Amino acid sequence: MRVTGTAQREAWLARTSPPVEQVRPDRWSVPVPIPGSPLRYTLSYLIAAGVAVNDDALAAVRAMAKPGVLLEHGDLVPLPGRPVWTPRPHPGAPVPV
Amino acid sequence: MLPRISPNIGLQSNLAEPPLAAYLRSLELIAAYDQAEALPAHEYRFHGLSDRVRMLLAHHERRCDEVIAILARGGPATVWQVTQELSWSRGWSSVTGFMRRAVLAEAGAHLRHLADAGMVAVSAAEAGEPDRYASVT
Repeated sequence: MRVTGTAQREAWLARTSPPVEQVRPDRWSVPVPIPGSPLRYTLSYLIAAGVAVNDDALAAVRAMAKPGVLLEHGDLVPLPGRPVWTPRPHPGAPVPV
Repeated sequence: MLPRISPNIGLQSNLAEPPLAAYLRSLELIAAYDQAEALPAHEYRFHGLSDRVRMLLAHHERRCDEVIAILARGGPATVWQVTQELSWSRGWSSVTGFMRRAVLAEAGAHLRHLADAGMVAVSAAEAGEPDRYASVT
């Protein structure tokens, strides 16, 4: 295995939030905080077509319900289109409402 | 697929099929994308999906061996009793709250997987009592 997200790994080891990064020409990695979880954040992927694919881990859903939250952690330019959440349920996790 | 943490594959009453077998099959499919960079939901990006798949398959094989050893050593046991005996990275006493539910479901998934493979026997529970699992060796 070879680590390619070196800034992400440094942030993981330092217990801080990783930066927003452009990981493909049309795709950004965006950390979404998970308050109170040892995982600390979910890496969500923002796609230039205007679709955000998100892991619905606990409070991340609530954060993602306000797309502006994404922009507080980086210098992203707001993209056209309507964000769409594709939840990946966590077994046993509370169902977001 | 994360570079370091193994995911919690837990038995749930609402799942259509046993989750561990489906998860292990999915790992074998993912290994075919070894040239791709993994964009995980936690931790950090990495290359080497087939290596990671091998590590995870080995992890679950060791886990199954551990479950069988617990049953062989201690006799028939419930999911709860097996869960307490399994090794957890932070120690059983540190596993509390939601995490305790998660690890219970994980142990249940391994027991169900082993039962489906004929490596563990399940005794039908009496009314109000949990199922008990036993080694068949």
